[in-house]
Amino acid sequence: MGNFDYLLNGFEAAFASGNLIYGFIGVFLGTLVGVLPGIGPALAIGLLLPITLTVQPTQALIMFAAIYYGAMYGGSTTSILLNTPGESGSVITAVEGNKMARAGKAGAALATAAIGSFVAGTLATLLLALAAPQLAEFAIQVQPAGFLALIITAFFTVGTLLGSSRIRGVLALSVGLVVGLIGADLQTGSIRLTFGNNNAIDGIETVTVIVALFALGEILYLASRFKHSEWQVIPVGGKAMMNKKEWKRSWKPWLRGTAIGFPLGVIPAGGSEVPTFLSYATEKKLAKGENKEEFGNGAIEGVAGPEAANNANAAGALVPLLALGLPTSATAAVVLVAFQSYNIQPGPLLFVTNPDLVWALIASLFIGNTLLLVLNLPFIKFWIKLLYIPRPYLYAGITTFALLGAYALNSSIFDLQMALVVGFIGYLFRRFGVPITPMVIGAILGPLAELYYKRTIQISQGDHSVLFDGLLTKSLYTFLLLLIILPPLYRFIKRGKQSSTK
Amino acid sequence: MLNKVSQAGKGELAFAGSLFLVSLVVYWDTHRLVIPDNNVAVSPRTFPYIVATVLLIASIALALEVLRGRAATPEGVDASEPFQRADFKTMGIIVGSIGLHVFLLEQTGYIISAAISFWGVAYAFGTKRMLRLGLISLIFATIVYYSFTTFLDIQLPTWVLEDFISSIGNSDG
Repeated sequence: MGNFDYLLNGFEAAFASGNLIYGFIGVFLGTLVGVLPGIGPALAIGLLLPITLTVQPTQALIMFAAIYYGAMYGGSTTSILLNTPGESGSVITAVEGNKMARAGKAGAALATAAIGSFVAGTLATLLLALAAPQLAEFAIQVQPAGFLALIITAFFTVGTLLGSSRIRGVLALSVGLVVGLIGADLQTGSIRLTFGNNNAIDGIETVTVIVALFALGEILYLASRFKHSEWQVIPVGGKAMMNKKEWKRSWKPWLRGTAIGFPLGVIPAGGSEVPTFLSYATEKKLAKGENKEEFGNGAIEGVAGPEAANNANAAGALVPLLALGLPTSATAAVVLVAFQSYNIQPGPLLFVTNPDLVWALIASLFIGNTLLLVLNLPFIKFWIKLLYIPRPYLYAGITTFALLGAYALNSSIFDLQMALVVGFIGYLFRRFGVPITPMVIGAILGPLAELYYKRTIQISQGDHSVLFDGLLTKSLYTFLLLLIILPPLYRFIKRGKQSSTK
Repeated sequence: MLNKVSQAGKGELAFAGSLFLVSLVVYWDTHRLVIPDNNVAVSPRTFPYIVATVLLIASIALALEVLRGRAATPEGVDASEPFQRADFKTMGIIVGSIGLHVFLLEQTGYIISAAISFWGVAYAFGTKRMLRLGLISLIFATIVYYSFTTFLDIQLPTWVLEDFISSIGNSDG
């Protein structure tokens, strides 16, 4: 059976009445939490993870896929009307989108964001359906050493590309790795870093880490700056629609955004900041005449491009997640946890062992994306009302759900205590400009890296040279080396040139 | 060198210092690790040592960065904005109400402990009308409790005070 047949079967499964309902609930909840300022897609899925305790795997994953896309759509609404981006991928959207809204063009900004998200999401999901099985087929032959190299590459690309400072990225990563160490070692059973606390033997629950970092850390950070912040919702006059000229200015940025966002999601480039920023820079450079002058004052290209890039990036991140079992963003990491709670391990074998599930998931991404367009254009007024929830109540609600999410998975008070501790770490990270995502990636992939390392060395019976065997490992480590050496070298040469011209 | 560092920079130095200490703790814990006798190719010590070393180096690098006058820009703040002291009072109320939630959850049940933490956080963020807030807190906690326990079959500590009292009674007898 070819992949196309699998996809058709997937559509059949996704349209089955029970599953479609979950897709619908997913897009609804996803948009809902995406619109709420302060809740991004990673947190949204983290909060809803307890659902996996009661729902069938296929239905739950369909729902999470729908939440994943839905939170992206919702996030753009918030950043356009509120200038308080709900999630990191919408930061760039907020720059031009908010200016457009202030200039009375909120409707057009919302429309180009929603339609652009739809176009990019659909194209990128198509690319996902084509690329993921191919990558999985290739990855089946990859040895543990190759996987270790992939994980290490992911560590450093996420660590160095995110945030303004490489040191802070690596710092966040290593704190995550320390969290991943806590508990019993998978192979020998040696107990690490528990300090005699029996609750910690199973390690710190990943969901607790994610929910605490993103929700409690954010709430504490907002509290610490309580007096110095304000926000204001910009009212939308008229409908979320575009005129002919705006369509004409939008469609090319949508396609370019997709082309930038998807590949950067597939390679571990760490989240949606980089692609959205690149797309914005590209559109700014390509704009001509009076359109160019609009940049900085609300240019529609500056909303259309990054929003498309953001959604294409989200779909792209599912490729390594499904085909390799490697999350490249915080949100993908939470989806991985959702899989794991059913004892399903995403990776090369997933397409062989659970084809029905994977293809139903991919098909439901197409369906969810279409539902989202409907949900976000005609019904946009409904979502905007959510922005008027008074801030104290909103923050109190987020805290309540975060605490519930941390507790409900294991019914454990220890998890809650850990949530408070990790939440405080999340506050410190924000306060000192340390990015959050590398820590999440480190906590989740750290134990996996150790496992692959041990397997490699066990197979080779202690010979460490096998770590560099094979074309894949060699090229990955070379790439890493270049990534580490080149930027300082470049700066050094540039400085040399400057001083010689003086 | 230290007097060149700003107020915010000193806080960041303390942050780097505490991470430095964490790396030392990881070294120490790994060093005293009990290793079972079975024959394994890779010791469970190798990986923690690598992690501790990376953290150690990164924390020292951060401290040097701050000493050179390159302190962090807090998230969502323009570098040009003047340094603002953290609002410890608001933070304290929130930490307190979360702590109370953790402490009370299995004593009073979910609804009361969640209502208290909701109330505390909303109060910290400046809600003025206390009576209305109290009512909303209770209603919100009740709705959350029933929707999660009935629709999602998630077990949450029940609200019944009698359970608590009878549990004390049982432990006596």
